[in-house]
Amino acid sequence: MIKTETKADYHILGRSFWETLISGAVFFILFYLYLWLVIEPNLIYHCAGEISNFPVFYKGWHFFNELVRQPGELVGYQSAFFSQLFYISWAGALVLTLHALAIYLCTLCILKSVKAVQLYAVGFLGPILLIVTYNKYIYYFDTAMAFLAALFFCCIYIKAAFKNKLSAVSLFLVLSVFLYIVAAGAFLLFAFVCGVYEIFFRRYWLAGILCFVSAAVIPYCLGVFVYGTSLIDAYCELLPISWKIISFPDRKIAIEAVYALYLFLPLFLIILGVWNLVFCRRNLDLCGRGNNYLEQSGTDKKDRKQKLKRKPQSKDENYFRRFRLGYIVEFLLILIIAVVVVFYSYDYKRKALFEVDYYASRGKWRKVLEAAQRYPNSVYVNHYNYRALYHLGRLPYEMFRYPQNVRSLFLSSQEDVFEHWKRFGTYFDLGFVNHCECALVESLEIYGEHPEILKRLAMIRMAKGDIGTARVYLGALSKMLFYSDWAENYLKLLDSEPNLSSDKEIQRLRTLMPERDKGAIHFPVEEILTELLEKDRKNRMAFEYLMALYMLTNNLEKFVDNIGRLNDFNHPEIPRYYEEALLTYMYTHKKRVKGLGYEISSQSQNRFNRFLLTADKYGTNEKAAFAELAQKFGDTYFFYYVYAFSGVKR
Amino acid sequence: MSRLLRTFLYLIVVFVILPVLIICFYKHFSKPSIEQFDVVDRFPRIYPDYSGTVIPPNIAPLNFLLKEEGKYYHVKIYSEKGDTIEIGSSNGKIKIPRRKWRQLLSQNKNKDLFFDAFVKAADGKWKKFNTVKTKIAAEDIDNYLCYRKIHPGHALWSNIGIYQRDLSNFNETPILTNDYFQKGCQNCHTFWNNNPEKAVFVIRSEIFGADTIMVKDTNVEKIGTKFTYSAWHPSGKLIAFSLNKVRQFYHSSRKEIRDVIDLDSLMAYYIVDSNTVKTSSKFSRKDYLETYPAWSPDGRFLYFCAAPIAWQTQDKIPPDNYKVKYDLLRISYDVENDQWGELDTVISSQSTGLSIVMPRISYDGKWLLSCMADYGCFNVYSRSSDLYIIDLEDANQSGEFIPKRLEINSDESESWHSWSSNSRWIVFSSKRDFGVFTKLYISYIDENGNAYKPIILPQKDPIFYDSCLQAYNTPELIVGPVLVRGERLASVVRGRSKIMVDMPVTMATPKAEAEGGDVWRGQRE
Repeated sequence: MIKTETKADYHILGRSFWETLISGAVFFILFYLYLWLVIEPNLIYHCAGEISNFPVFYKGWHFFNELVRQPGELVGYQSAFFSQLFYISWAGALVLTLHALAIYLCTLCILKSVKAVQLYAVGFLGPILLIVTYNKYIYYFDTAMAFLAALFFCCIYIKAAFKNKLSAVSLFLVLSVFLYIVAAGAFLLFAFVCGVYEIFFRRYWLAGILCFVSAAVIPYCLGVFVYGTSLIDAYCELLPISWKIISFPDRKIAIEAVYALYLFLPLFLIILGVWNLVFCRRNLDLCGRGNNYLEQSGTDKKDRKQKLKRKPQSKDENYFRRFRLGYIVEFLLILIIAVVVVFYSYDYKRKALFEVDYYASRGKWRKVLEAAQRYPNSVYVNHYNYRALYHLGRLPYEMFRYPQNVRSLFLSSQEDVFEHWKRFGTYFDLGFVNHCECALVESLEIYGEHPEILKRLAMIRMAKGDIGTARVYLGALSKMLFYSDWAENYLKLLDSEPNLSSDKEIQRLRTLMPERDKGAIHFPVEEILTELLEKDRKNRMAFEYLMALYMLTNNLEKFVDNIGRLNDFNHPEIPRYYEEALLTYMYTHKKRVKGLGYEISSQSQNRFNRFLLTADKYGTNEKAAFAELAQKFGDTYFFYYVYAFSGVKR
Repeated sequence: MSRLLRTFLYLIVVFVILPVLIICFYKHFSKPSIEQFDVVDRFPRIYPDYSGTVIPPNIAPLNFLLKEEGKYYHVKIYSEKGDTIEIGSSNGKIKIPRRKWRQLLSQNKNKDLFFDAFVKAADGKWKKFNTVKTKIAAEDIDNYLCYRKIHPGHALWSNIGIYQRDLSNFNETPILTNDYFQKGCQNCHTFWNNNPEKAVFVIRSEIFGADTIMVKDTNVEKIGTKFTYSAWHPSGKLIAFSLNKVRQFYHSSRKEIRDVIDLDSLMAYYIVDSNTVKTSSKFSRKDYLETYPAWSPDGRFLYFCAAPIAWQTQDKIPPDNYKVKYDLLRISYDVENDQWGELDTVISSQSTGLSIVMPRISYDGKWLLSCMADYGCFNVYSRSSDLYIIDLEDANQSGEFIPKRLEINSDESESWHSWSSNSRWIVFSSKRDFGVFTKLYISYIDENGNAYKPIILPQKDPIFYDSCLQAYNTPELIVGPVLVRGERLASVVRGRSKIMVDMPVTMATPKAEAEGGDVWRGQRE
């Protein structure tokens, strides 16, 4: 069956065990550090409304029983389990590194079996391709796990290398059935690799053909007839060509890397096999192998030992020096390729999207602002920027320092119709619970039973006094690995205090949530905010968002109508941008705003005067005035009012 | 044998076989002998609460959780005849052995079933609670229950499936899930006289269209129109169905956010042998909403619900005056000559002040069970929805149809009910225990139309529903399993071949839907 690698196995082909070990260790230590410190798998766990196929995992037998009813679900189950460790960044990085390492070792094992260990660099191809997917913050872990399972089974089959054809076929069939149950469609890779191996390397044509035929027959018989899966899933489940991946645009980002992951080994074996066929037939001495060369050298231990003894004796010391230098150059080349691939595939913008959502969900608002700086022109990043500025009390003072887009405020335009995940946090903070629940429930359908969604749904149902529903969400959360404590605390609290009157967050939501009911398909943003302010005049977020909405839409009449609400919030002065909006209103409408109870500061007045003076220099030519105004007043509302964007002060 | 294989076998022995043997040994010899105990003069807290219920003699074991403080639990289950079942538990979960349970129930039909609960306290003393009593009915329930499982979503959906559950055990198998046709939607499913050999399943998919899948014995066909709510004629020759232009909207502060309105609807019928669709001007009126067809068991009457359209335009959703109330109507039908009689108002919403929908008639023809709510036609979203029963025999004699509110109703929504083929059992969906996660309940109806305290559809794990994020709805009792495989149904869904039918009405909405042009996006339970 499987033979463990020995130092001699490597040495015989011109690479010492230690060299292989050191190159592997260096590569995978760097791999781990990169994942841990740069990629941060906890961001992948968080999903951020960008990954819709991150698996849910529940503790207990029931979930296991439910999940392992179809082919491939065993891999799905263990992928789901290991994916939970992404929650802790270092643990997630470790899981991903070990997974890549296993792929590397399996590839080396196959390379060794086909006498191509000198091409050991091929073993790094799988991990490098995986890095490309991690760089894109996309979830292919289950597909990659299925790939590993197929690779592992290939190793078992190839290493067993039964000489008896009946034994080989029997082993193949047993492994096929087992692998199909474990990894579904990934079995096709196994069948294909085994087929190629039999035809090109062992020259057992019949066995090879049987492998290919089994690839067509086994999924149909086992998948469709025994398990009752659909025909498509019987063949494609867990493969990158599955409709569960390619039908969803967000799931097929960088899918080429996964295609390459699945294809590199079979293609490599075909090329090597053809090479052997062509060259070894012409010149047996060149290749040093005849027909069934694997049998000659792969299993005859005595012969191998003799070779081991002979080979070093025939070489001089220069050979080793040259060889070691070659090895170092070769390995450095691999590292350079890896670095280049990493550099070109790294998606810092996507990371920023994940970071802002991750930090917002944890209330780390300063970090949100920091992350937002890395992708400032994104509509979605700006959405989080507003929330961060509000929570830091800086929205009316700093919002126009950043690029503005009215679409960002609520993501309520038609283009953002499916951005439910990104919206629900804002509605939750505002206290518009039914709208938030709507966004959460839709997110549940798109992103699955993600704990962040379930947590908020439980909170909302508790705030609404619907304990029956809340308990179900909490019950589900209590079965999750990292959320059970939170859920169980609330379940205990519900037992002791069903009204939850001591819970501040529940009380906050109850204070803010509207009471007057209205039916509609869509609720306009302005209506939502005024409704919230009607319920609670002191809903500062609703007020600041309403004013921001009016400023962003240049609706200064309504801005002025509502500026009196400022008195509800004990501001020591009029916030800077409100002053600027008032000055703009007074200038454009030739009206004074009375009864504010505040004076507009001299700084704002001066700034406005300077803005007018600068603008006057260019007359009515707004385009010509742009550069200077942007440089001096790019962070003012005046500038936004004229040019409809901001955040350009240099 | 290689070393690896040997190691593998050792591991299996050490980690699988040995623990199993130890557990079996432990379970066998750890039965406590309870000779002395203190009596606690109250009923034990059990969950789900089965006390005072009437249960089918062919139901799966009613596993439950003893919610009492203790370090060990022991339960004795017994009746007049047969062996007592004794179960011990260290966590309060009482899982009843299926074979013994079936034997006990089958030996004691129409008799009481008793549960004695003992709890061992921390001081080592046993406590015995009052005996919990349920009644085993004389009549079986249909062996299978078909239902849909879905997240209680709003406008989007991911996993939806129609499943069948063997009620005598815990086996649940999918009939058709939307994984078979790439995440389309599945809604209503209707069987002919609770018989799984003839059925219709309605699917709608952006890829494969909105159609009806009809099963006739082992034959599966796709009909090129969508039946929203349908009812097989008892003869099996035709299917009455409604076509509804459904729209979903949301409430800004109501506990149940979702609401549904039929902007337009009508009824028609599909003649199975000739593959034709017909309608009658009596139930496809342009100024009325007609929906929820239901046949009387003799096939002579078609019952349905209707309400006048109260809005001029369909542009605004919800329209003004959307809180319409439906009446219950019926029309006679001669199946041999395909002749419709006159319309007859059975219950007017004016007289009840409530909207009446979802009529279902028991197979003995005696009872009509329906839902009544404040307004509208989609009662699963209405807290006010309750089950009402009408004695049809009395009504046919007196000419007066009197709805009686069943005592089993709760403060939450009750809807989607189905009769067993012997007319003694109903299954209905309710939000009483788990809020938006609608669950299914089984209740016994006696010969006087009284409904008995329902049991929730039993699960192997008694606390299964506590973390179950799926709603169970549209239950249909069936006498046996649907034997057509999912992939067979799915291949028809995915296939291009379909029976094209011409809609006999010109009303714009149903015509468009029949052509698959308007795939509803509104999520519906």
